[in-house]
Amino acid sequence: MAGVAAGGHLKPQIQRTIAQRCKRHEITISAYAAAPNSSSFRDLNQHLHLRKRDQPNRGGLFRQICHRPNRGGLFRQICHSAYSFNTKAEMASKDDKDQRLATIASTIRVIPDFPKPGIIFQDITTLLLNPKAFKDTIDLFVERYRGKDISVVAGIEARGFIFGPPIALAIGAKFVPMRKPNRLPGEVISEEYSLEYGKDIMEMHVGAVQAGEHVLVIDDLIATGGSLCAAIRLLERVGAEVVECACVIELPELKGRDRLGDKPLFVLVNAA
Amino acid sequence: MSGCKEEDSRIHSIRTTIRVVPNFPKPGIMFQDITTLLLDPKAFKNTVDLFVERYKQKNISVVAGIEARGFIFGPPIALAIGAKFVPLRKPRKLPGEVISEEYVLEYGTDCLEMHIGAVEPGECALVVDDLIATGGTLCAAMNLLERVGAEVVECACIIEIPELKGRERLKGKPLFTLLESH
Repeated sequence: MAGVAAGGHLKPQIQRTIAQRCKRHEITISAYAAAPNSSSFRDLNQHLHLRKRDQPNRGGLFRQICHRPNRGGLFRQICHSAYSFNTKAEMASKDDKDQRLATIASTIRVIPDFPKPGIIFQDITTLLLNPKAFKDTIDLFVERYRGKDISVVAGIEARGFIFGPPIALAIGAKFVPMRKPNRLPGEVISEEYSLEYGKDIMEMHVGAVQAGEHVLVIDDLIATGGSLCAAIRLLERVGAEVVECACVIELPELKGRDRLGDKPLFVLVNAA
Repeated sequence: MSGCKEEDSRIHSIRTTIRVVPNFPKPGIMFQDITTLLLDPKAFKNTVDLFVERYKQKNISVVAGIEARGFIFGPPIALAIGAKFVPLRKPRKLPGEVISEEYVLEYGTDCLEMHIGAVEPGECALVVDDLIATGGTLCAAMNLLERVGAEVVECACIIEIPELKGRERLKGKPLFTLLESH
């Protein structure tokens, strides 16, 4: 019941803090009861009564309505309301994201002893056979990278060619293939990198990426991080900034993440 | 008429972004390089859209892409039409059980592989690659799909090189391409 109570006021800074909190949590508050001479948050907790309504807060200041026992503390109420308001939305979106990740993880097939004995191969081709899982995979990356000023998606041959282009198309970036030697026609720059036994080379077209562009590097999986590192070096050699590396799967025991140094890595699934 | 003009401008945007690189991979070959198309988000989107418009709601449940440039164009089409994507790969790249199809190159032979179980009998499939030259690779792809009982509805490429008569090598299957290169 709206009205003006006798006595009491809130210090402006406290009012501002409460108003900011409510605004941040998208809570609109119609009226408050203020404790007499309330000057501290503790006092508020003891004396204020908070009611939450779908009415616009008039001017960001509080009205005193009545003196009634505070039920559960102002900030706890604000937080609780915020919590319950946001939590539902957050929980819904978190549940949805977890659901999508669970689906994605369940569609990845593990093949032992490929390409050689002792290696447990993470096969994403079965993910590609599930249109929903494939779409969810792309969506999870796109949700993260859309609107982040990324103008280049670099995909590592060959499975990076499957995930990179849909992401690039969705965020309006160019797609740059990072290839094995002698596949790209015209002028290229090359970067050598180490394999478990021996070396390999990765190439990128000269002129594909301009200095200063923001780049996302994509591959299906990060193992030791050797290929991703080579891709990062190629891009940095032309003056681009690698914003993040993104993979569907990480093999954490191989510590590829550490090998990327200061470059962040985002993955959807960890394969133990 | 305005519909035609829109089509023309999208095809035009694709045509003008493809780069020709002479003498690659060997002397005498004029290589049609689509990587420059991929550097133009609008042209890339137009390319995918043109295929999607043709194939959505045509009951196609499989898009098979030929390694490696078919991996760039196939997945966005598959995603847009709700089909699965099946990679057709060079030998020994696919883990697990595969079937193989050998095909003839100018000098020698090569081999294309597909996972067993990826495609069911009776499924309608689209085969995608960036370019058709002699048609040897596309033919091998079609054979793989037909061997597991799928029906190849059409082959789709961005570029066709008509002089090499690849279209005739497709055993009567339709071919849809966006551009011809002479």
